[in-house]
Amino acid sequence: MKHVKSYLVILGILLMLALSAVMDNGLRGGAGFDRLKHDLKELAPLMVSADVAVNNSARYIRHRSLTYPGSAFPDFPGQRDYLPAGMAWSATDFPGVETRLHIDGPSQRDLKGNP
Amino acid sequence: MSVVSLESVGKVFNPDGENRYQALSDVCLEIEKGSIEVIAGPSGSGKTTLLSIIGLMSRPTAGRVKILGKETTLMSERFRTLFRRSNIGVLFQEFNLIPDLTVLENMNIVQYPAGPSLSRMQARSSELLERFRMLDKARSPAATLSGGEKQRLALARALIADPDLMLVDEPTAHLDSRLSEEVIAIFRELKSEGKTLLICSHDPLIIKSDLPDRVLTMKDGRLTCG
Amino acid sequence: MRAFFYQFDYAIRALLRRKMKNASIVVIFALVVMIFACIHFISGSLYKESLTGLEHQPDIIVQNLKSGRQLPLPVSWARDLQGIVGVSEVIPRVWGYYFDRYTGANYTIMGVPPEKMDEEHSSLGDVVPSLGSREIAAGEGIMEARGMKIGGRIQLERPDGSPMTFTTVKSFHSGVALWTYDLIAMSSADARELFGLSEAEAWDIAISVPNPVEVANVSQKVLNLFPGARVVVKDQLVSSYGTMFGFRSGFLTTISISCLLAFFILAYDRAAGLSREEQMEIAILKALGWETRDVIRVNMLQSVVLSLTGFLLGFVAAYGYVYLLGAPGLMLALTGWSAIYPSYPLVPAVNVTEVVALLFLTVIPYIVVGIVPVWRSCIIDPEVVFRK
Repeated sequence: MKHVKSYLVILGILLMLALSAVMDNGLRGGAGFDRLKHDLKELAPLMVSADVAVNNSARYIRHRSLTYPGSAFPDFPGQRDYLPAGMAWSATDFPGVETRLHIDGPSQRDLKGNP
Repeated sequence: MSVVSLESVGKVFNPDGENRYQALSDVCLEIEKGSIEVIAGPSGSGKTTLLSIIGLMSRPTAGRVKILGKETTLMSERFRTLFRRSNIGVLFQEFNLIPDLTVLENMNIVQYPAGPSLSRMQARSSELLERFRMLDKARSPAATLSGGEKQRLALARALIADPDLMLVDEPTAHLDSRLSEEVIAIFRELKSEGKTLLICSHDPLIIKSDLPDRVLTMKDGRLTCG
Repeated sequence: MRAFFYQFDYAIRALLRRKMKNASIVVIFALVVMIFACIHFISGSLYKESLTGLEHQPDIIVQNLKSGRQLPLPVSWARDLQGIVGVSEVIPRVWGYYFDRYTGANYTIMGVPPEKMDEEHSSLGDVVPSLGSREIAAGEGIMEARGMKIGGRIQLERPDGSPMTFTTVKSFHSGVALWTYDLIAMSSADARELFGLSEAEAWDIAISVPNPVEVANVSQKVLNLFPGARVVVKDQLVSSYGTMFGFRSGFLTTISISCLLAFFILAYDRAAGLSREEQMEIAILKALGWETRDVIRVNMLQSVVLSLTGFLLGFVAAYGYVYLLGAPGLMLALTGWSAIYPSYPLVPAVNVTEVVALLFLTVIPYIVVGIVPVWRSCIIDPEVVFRK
């Protein structure tokens, strides 16, 4: 049975480490986000909107593919066209707002009924 | 009392396939308690298949098999296994030891499913290893044993559950004459303990010795008294 | 119960007999779980941090577009917008980017509106101080890049090249580095002057709508007032971030699929069948009186040992790598780049439910796929296996 005992010791250590990670996540993560929330409560309303497409306050966390040549906010002036991505992202629809133009015309059903 | 009773037992491999093979045909056999029966016959005559059926490791495709008075043909797989575990010991031709395990571990694994206490399990294994002069090799891997040692270990393992019926397949196939004599002496000893032995062998040393109470001959899957 | 422990012991010994193979399986399993967990930990933390910031963002941001580009908008728009029912606050904001020739980096300039600093009990102060004329609060990155200290001076240039000198009165602390590392906060008037914006212009307008149900109506009304404007609602930003950190993000998807593929290869190896040696062992155990369920139990215990060990190793390693070491290497691949780049520590944001889900999605399938080949071997008569 010594193999079972040895394995259970290893498993116990791994479980303890995993549990510590979960506890650290709860304690450090909870406290960290509480502090962040408090700090950002003051800062965020004044800040540039963190629009990932238009705004470089999201630069550090934006996807790498968005930050390289042709991307919205490269960090050097030699790069031309430093605003395109913001423009490429059209304002998407949100409930209750007509952001697109709808053209009235005969419906598909009408077209099928009257060939 | 019959320890083994076979009635018209037949075994067909691949019954519906092109390579259909009739391994056993209409085999009838009665083995009395405390006897040693030898089944002789050339390779491929169906000896091992018969042993496998009596050892409940394989089902016959025809006939009935009674072991220790129990009808086993229609037993569920589980009951066949449990019945075999406590009543039948098998000594395989190729020993069938697990080479990476030690001698002691090879003995112990037979007892695992029953779950005896560790001390009881070790005591039983040690007792048998001592009997077969293998105790000093208890910690050696089975792969490092000589042919004779493997045979003795396999024999010790087969006796773990103190079975009434021992099935032995070609026990001297890998042994020289001195070791063969030694094995025959062990069989005699087992007989004196009241155990029933069914030995498959075509070794004249066994067939012509005074060991067997009866020698049966198997040919093309059929059994004849000879 | 004793039988179970004997079989457990046997299962472990059987694994130890094939040390190299099984150690490789544990390592690969751990690696797959680690990579998978790492990218989810990193993206989860960044996403949560972003959402925390977005919580306090204005509900609606109005921008002025011309030729598809953002341009300054007239401050007079703010008066029109203030008239919309449901709007509680309208703030014209002045912000922009400043390329600093000395450090080769872009700074983010944020103009703090005077009404925010004039309040008697200013909500600012702790993080953003009240700033007088020619006073700034700067991010740590800028302080480091320019070698500045509190009370030090920094010279920035107007569009015509003429210098403006500022005094640094505060540095943002590292807890908010993700937001402030390259940030300079100054009064709106100074920001206007720096960017050459007139008093009548702002860069965008932030609108607060206390009732979330009203946001859509207000947005519609803004569009009715200014059809050419770009209206960005907070929810859109949230969904943008969701897209960036979610399954549609190419990098995350690629790595995740690679991990899944590696896991399937592992599982396939388990399901593909047993070696001759393993089949022989099963036949011997069966012949010695082991039931099919005993053999399957041993196999399942082996799978549990391999997969659970691999999973726990992978999880613990991923946690340590991301939250203790700061994910060196992988952060470069998952985040953006800048001349002044914050080395901000990630705040742990592990969703325990997701970890448990990952456990069930890796360990359970790995155990299950191993059963079929063992069961198939178990139902073969031992004699047939021995004869082979």
